[in-house]
Amino acid sequence: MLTLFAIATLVVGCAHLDEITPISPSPVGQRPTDFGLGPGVRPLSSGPGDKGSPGWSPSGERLAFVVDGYVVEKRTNESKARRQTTQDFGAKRVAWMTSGERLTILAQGSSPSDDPLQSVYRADLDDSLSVNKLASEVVAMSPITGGDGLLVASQTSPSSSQLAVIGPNGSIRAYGDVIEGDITAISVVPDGDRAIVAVRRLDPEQNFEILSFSFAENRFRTVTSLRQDLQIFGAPQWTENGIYYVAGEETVSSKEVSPDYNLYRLAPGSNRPDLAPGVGEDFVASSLKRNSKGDLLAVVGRRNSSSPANLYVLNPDVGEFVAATTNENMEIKTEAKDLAWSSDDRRVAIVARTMISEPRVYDVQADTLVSDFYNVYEVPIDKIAGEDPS
Amino acid sequence: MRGIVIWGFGSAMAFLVTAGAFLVLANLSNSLPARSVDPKPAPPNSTPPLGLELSEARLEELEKSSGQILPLTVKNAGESTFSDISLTMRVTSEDTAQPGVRYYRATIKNLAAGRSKTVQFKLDLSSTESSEEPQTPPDAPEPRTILEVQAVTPEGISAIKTAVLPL
Repeated sequence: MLTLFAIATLVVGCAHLDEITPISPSPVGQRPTDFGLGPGVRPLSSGPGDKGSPGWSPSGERLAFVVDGYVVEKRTNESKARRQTTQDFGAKRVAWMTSGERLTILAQGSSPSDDPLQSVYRADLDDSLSVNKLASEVVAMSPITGGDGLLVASQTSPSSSQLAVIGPNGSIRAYGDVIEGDITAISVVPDGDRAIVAVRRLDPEQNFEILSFSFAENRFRTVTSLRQDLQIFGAPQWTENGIYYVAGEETVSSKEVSPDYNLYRLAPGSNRPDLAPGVGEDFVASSLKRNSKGDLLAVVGRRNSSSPANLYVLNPDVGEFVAATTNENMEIKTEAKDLAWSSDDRRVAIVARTMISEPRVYDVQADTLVSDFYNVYEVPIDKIAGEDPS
Repeated sequence: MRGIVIWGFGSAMAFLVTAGAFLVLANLSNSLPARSVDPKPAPPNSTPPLGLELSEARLEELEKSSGQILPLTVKNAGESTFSDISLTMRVTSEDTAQPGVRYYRATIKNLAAGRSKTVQFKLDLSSTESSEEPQTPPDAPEPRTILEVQAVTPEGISAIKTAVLPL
C-alpha cells in the first residue's frame, strides 16, 4: 500500500514539469524601454570604451567587436566579455571564421615603432590572448562565404596592390594581376565566386573604379569609373539588382560636417550609375552592407542633410526603403565596418552613443551605463523587412 | 536473516514515504498561480541611508585641466551617526585602453543622522595620454571623462554617483 502511495505521489509530483516557465536572461546594463533608437533595439554591450566593428558568430549566439583597439568576444545574452588580444593591439576590424571558433583581426600596431601598414591575425577563442600573424601590408579584408577563407587586398608596392586568399590553414594564394592603384575596400558576392573591388587609381586623374574579380577566371573586369572628384566609402555591395555603393566628394577631414554622400546603383550589365531607386534624392548615405542572400541592404544615413542618422533597410527588388531605427539624439557610427548583419539576416548590429553637451549624473557605476558610450546595439530587421526568413 | 530483511524493508518504506511527502508538498506549491520574476521595486518613500550629491552646475564648469575643484555633498539620511565614511573619487577616460586612472580619497570622521557635509576634491582632469605617444588614433572620437565617486562606511553601507562629462 505504502509502495503504491509513494509511486502515485512520484507520478503526481513530476506531472507539472512542463509548466515551468524559463526566466529570460538578465539584460545588459541599464535597461530602459527605449535606448534612444526606437522600440525593439537592445544593447549588446555596456560601459565605457569606443566599440566598433561588431560581428556576429555564424551561430548568432556570440558577438565579437573592437574596443579601443583590442578585441573582445561575448555571448549575446550575457554582459561579460572576454578579451582576445592584448590591450595595445591596435585592432581595426574583426571578423568570424565560418567555423565560429576563430576570429580574424585586421590590426595596425599602436606604437610608433610598429609597422604603419595593417596586418591580418588569427585568434583562437581562448584566454591565451595569443594570435597568429597571417599576412602583412594588408589594406582590406572580407570573409568568404561558405568556407574558412579570407579575401585580403595587400599592398605590393606604394603604388600597387593585389588580392589574395588566406586559407583555413593559413596558406596564402595570390589572385589576379597586380593592380596599379590602391584597393580601398573589397566584398565577396553571396555565392563566393566573385569579389567586388573599389580601387583608387594613382594615375594623374586619381579617380575611383569599381572592379569585378572572378575567382574562376582569375581576372578583373572594370565595372565603372567614377568622376574624378568622387570617392567611394566602404565596399561596394552586390545584389541581384545590381551593385550598390556610397560615394561623395572628398573632404579634408572625416570630422568635418558630413557632405552629400549618395547611394548609387549600377544596374546589372550597366556601367552608368544612378541614384539608388527608392531612397529619395535628398538621402545622405554613409555606409551600407548587404545581407547573406544579397536581397536586402542595411544602410546608415539621413533622410536629408538636417535629419538624424538612422539605420534603414532597402529591398532592391521592390525599391522598399524602411527605417529600422527612430533616432533623435544618438550618434550612430557611419563607417561600413560598424554595420553587421547576423547570419540569419534577422538582426543588424550598429554602434551608437548619445550626443551630450552637458554632464550627466547617475546613481550607478559607469560599467553599467549604455547610451553614454559607444556601444553595440541589435536592431531587429525581420519584422520591418516584411518577411520572415524562416 | 529475517531481521535484516525486515530492517531493509522498513528503511525502504521510510524513504519512500518521506520522498512522497516532499513531492506532495512540492506539488502543492505548483498549484500557485505563475508570476513573472521581476525585481522587487524599492518602496516608494525609501531613502538610502547614505546620499551623495554632485553639483551639476559645477560639473558643467569643469575644464580639461588640473586644479579643478569639485564639491561633493554627503548626506546621512539614516537614523544613527556614521563614522569614518571613506570617499573615493575615480577619474577615468572613456577610452579603456588609456592606462591613466586618477584616484582621490577623503574621509568624513563623523556624520550625524540627518546632517550633510561637503568635501572639496581638487581634481586633475587633464588628459592622461603622454604627449609623445598618443594612444588614441587621430580618427577616433573624443573620449568622454568619467567621474565615479563611492562612499563606504565601516558597516558596509555604500553609495555611488557617476558623472559623464563631455570633456
